[in-house]
Amino acid sequence: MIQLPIISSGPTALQPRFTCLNAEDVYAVSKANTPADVIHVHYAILAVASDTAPLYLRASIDYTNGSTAVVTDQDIENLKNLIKSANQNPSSTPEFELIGARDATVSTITDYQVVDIQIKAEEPYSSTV
Amino acid sequence: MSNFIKVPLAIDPARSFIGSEISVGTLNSGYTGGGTRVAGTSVGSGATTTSGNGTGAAFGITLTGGTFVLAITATSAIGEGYKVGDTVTLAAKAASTGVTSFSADITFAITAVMLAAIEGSATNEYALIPIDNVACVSGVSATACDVQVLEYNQATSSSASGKVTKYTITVDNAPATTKAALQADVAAAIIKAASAENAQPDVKFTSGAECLTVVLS
Repeated sequence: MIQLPIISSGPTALQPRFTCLNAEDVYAVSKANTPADVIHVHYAILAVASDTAPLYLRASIDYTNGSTAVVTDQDIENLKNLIKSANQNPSSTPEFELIGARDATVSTITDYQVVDIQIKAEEPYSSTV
Repeated sequence: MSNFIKVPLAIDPARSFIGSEISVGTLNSGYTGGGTRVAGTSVGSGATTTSGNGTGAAFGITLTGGTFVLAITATSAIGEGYKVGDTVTLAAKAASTGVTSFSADITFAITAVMLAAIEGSATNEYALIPIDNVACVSGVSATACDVQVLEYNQATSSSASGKVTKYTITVDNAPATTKAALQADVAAAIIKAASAENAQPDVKFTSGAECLTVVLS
């Protein structure tokens, strides 16, 4: 399980509280085309042992609070690495933070916090273009 | 072995009226008073009074038929703080052609079906949510959040566009919380459960919010 800071959840913007995201059964992480500040985490799940085809689901992590783009390709790589790490340590609950949050100010830190997170069913994801 | 979070369910909390029509009943079998009654179209109650601590509820009032069945609808003012057994008094309404009227105040006792639905009782203090397949916690509003699960709801669809299974946790609007705080409260319990096998932690609502229902859909 990965922790993600939620906007407007804590006593101050610099003290956010967290929502959670499952790190198991993930097969891809991608950046949405539109809107740009959404990260997609793609899951393939065999619900029961007799299933012959997996269920394909997608978590959309929304960072669209600010007017400028904050999600970078490096963030996608960092989240992949964190998911790998979380799966190597099953009881761990690491925090994921966008790389730009390191240099954010009090007034811009909320741009790097999660506005919304939703799960949807989808067709299998492919990174080929 | 599954791990769970426990969501404490409020037991007979003070709460709001439902927003749809409520049939109260007939004279002495649902309500008392009313004096001279005339059936007609709906009339607004204006501010109401109660024997308890509830405030803010206002109703459209209708008397129908030869037995003057009383129906009330809290369409725009569901109020807050009402409990089963409290009485509500509707002030008398002057006669007006075609409109419901009654020459003396009407009083009725609140029953459970008149108020927002709850699951909690002395023998049902917690709802359990298994966390093994939890995908994430998403905020819906200041009174609801969803625990979304990595499963399709096979009852509605098994296709790729199918509906994803979720537990919707609904809390009362008083004491008030926020969408983000509610989301974080539930997520905190899931994170704790995920980091400690068999911990089965309670959800701690930081604002004292009262959980009304946990519905799987």
